[in-house]
Amino acid sequence: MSFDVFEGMLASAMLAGIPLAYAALGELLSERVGVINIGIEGVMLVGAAVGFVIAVDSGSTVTGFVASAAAGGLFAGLFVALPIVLARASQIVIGFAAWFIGIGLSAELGASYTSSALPQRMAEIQVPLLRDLPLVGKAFFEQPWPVYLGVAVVLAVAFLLNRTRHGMNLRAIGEDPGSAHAAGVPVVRWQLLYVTVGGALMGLGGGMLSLVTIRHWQDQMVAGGGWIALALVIFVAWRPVSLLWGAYFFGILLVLGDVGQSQGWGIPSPILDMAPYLLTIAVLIARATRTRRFGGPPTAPAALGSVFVRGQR
Amino acid sequence: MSSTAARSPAAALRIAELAGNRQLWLRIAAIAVGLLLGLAYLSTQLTPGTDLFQTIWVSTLGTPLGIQQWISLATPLILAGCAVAVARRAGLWNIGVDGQLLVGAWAATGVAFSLPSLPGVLLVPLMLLASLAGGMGWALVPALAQAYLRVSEVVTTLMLNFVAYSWTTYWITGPWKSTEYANVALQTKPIPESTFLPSFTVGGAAIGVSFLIAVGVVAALWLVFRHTHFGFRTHVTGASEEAGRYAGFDTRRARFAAMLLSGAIAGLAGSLVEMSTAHSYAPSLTDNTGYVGIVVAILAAGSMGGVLATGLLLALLQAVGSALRIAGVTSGVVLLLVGLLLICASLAAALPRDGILRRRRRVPPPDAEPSPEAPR
Repeated sequence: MSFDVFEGMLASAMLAGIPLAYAALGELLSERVGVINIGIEGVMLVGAAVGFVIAVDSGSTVTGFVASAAAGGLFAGLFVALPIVLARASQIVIGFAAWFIGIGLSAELGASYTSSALPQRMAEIQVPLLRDLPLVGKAFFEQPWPVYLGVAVVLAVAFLLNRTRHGMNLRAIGEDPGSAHAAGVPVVRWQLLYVTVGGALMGLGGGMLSLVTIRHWQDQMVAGGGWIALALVIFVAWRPVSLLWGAYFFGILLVLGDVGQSQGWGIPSPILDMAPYLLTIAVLIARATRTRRFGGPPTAPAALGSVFVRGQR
Repeated sequence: MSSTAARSPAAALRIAELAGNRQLWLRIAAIAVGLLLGLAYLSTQLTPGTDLFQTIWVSTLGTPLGIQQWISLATPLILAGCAVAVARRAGLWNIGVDGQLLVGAWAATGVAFSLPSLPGVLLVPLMLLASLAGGMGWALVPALAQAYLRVSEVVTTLMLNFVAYSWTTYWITGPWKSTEYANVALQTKPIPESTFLPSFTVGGAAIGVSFLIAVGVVAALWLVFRHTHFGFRTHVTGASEEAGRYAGFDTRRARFAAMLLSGAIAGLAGSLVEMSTAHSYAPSLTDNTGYVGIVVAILAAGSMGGVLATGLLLALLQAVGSALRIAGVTSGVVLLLVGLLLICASLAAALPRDGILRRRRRVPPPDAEPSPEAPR
């Protein structure tokens, strides 16, 4: 593989990986308040479709990107947060429902936009001097701004969770909602809020896919990215900062198929396309084996998936 | 999610059963509400001039062709529902039915292509066996990882769906590339005609033997879970792992075996679709079958007889969905509708239990017998 190709791969891996970081960050926030939202894929698809449709109709890609966050938040709020937090419906079943509704709704919304083109590209941020670095210059210092926004949001959430009182209270909900409630944290309201905010982040992830990475709309374009994001949260043991390199790593795997095809590696591209999915499985198994053998790093929030009913337990 | 784990196998099962019976009418009502919501949505989406009810009637129960279509769509859905329901019995989610179905069909196709001259009487059973093994093999890694390492089977089974899609693409664009369909490589060449499954005609509608096989699988599973030790072990493990261990069952093995059985049934669905209607290997052997199958199993609440009913119900929805495709809706609309059904059903299951309707329910003292309506 020539130098240029490798450089190009590192750059496009960033565009493929950051949407996963957005989505996984959204899931992480959700899980930190004790709600497991497995409908990520559906929320991302809605974000991707709405973002694309709004971008084409309004003539502004940036407006579309903002709309994808709004759509993701609204969708997750209505179809995930309300049924799970207020009605205490099964988190898994509601997650499936949100996933299916997301697939169907996005297909319906985007149906007449499959051949539309985006009004303009997202502006790139170019860091002088650094972008001329060999190999990594293009990948890290000359990217559309949503890439840097993603990094910034991940760092901001990490700061919020680990360095502020608000973040500590937030994590307390996921560990022991009863105690958090006793300590005066508004458990139900915060669960609603953060599942919705998480949905907005997933929406941004989807929006970035349709507006920055792939730049057109097609049915089910997220292609399992939401599920990879779910695995990513487990992989990084619920620590937001690690999401960055985890997502970048999966980004590399996601572009491997295209690179292999253009380079004529002799491996059929459908076989290379399997890499990210197989690796997700391998990573989960490796983590479980390690945890089993050595005891693990801090793992899932203790009350993840449980139902909080005020006055019980 | 589980709060009060029942301490004995019998108690665990009894609680699960009571909870199921109490909610039956509620569940039916919820499904009706979901269907009405779906209908309301559909009526806003159609191109003007389409008579929604006319289309629904003609494409399903109103004509022999509609009935034929309905039954042929129901066959894989019932099997997919069975596959998911078997895993549910052990407390697991198999959302990789799509992948297992494709790999099952792939294995069957491989047998058919390598032994094309074998007579149908031999080839058909071989293909069925191959598809069972293929689906089972595809579920092997998630089953091992779940049972022995506690790796979430939700993620692993789903990931293997995408691997299976690529696997299918690889075979139909590579080794099994068809020369008959010019440059559109959407399917392989047909399988030998001797392997086409027959159908019989009832009132003008051709009902495939594959449907009877699916009904047979439902009956067999019902027997297994009602009358065999394997079924009992699996069910107890799913209802309360603690109870299973207390009774001396190897609960890890029970979960492992349930997952493999689930995969095998999914694989069988693949070969049946291929041998009864599709007649060649293609990604279109599954039309979100695995995903709709999840809904079939959830709406049936783990009951095998229920799977038959909800499979037939959702097949109606799929038939309507594809009939309406000409009238302006997309192929995704079926998933949208089943998603709505799912939300209604899970709200119906949750609200009277510990949702807002029961906010002030008294908590039983910790050492009391778990109350019947409490979920395990």
